[in-house]
Amino acid sequence: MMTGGRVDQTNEPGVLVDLHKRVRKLEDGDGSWPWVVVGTYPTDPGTTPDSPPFQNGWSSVGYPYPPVSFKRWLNFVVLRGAFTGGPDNSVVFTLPQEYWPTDVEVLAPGQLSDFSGIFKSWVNTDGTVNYVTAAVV
Amino acid sequence: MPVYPTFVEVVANNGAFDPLGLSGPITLTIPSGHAIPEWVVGGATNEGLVLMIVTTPYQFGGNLGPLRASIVATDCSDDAPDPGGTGEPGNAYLASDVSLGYQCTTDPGGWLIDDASPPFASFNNGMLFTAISITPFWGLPDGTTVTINVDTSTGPLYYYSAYLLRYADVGANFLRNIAASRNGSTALTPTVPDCGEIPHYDDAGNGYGEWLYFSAMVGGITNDTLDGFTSVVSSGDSLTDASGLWTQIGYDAVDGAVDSAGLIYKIWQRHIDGTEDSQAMAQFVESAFVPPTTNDQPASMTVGWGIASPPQPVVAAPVFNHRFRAGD
Repeated sequence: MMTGGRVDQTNEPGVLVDLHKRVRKLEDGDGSWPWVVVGTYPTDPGTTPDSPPFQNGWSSVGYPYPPVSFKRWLNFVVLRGAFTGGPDNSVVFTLPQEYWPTDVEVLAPGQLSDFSGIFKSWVNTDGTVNYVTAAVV
Repeated sequence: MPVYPTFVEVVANNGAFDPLGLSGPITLTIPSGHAIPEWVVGGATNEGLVLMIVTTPYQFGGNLGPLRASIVATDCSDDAPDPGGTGEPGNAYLASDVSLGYQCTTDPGGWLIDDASPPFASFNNGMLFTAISITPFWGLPDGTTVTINVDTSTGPLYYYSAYLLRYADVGANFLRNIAASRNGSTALTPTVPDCGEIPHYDDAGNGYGEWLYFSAMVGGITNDTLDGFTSVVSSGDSLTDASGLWTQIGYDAVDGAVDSAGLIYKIWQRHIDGTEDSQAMAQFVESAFVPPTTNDQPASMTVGWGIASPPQPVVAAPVFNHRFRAGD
């Protein structure tokens, strides 16, 4: 029996891109956990009273990249934004407790903004977001 | 908030700061109300267009491939005057190559500038600038598009941003007025009025500041060179010794021997670091001026100046784009 739903079934890569965009749209549209911008409130743009400050000299790069920010969506914590200024093996910022992972999360290698390499980072169970180092690939 | 000079305005900026590299032509459109009037040799209301591209060299060692640009007019059939006497219809004339003549095209593939070695200038902050003069003898109406293509055969063009600047002259008729007493041996020293307060990038004086640039265009001459600044005088500290710090970023020369409407065009610029109260005056010199010999060879020198902000520098910054499972 047919229902009112729709199934997208295709092998085209564009569908995956569209799916990613849809997920992003859902994340952005979910107001129950808004994006929280990392930085010093109220001097840093976009920060709110619950914004955690940067640590160890890190800061957001800013335009054209989004500021370092995070939000919770469903059962995931989403991190985004470009950052700069701190040393290797240091804490970038600390997530509030409701965003802490149960186990240590070694994040997948991330891209540098100029695509010259990748960087490693991880999130500890105490909410510290740690930058390890970058490597040219 | 500093007051920007009104002599120069950015009429279009592609707004791009594309980290993915150039993947197609850049198209800038002259917005409504910003039409460029007919450039009248010897006139008093001349305006010019400067196409400025800002980019970074880090991907390819500072070597940029050929740069091409065209003006694609929305209407090539206009009946604008023909001061050059060539009988050619059209809206635009680009001063990079006299062999191209006066052209108007609706073909975006018909490049009117095809410069194998664009005069990019590199600065110590790693930014590259270039500029192409666009001399609209017949004016450019609203909606005219300027299409730029960068040949990326030597490497992609990352983090580019293109500006279309319009300047109004402050020195039109200057040469014409002095032509009778000038024979090519005396330096010309038109003085640009005080800039007033020069804005800067941030209040701490850090970053990449603003770029103050001057441009000069001489038209209606038979032979000429523009040698540049002899001095720049300032009431602020940062500009007092500027004569050796200016960098030429654009140069086009069209000998007017054929059509008596030659043009020389140059742009100089320098980086301004965080000085709020600087005032600048520029003195140009040109050494080989041959004055017009007949009444239909009027001469004019147009001097424009303005301030533009480059985009942020490129950094190899880590970018979070991650998800992880939160605790319960």
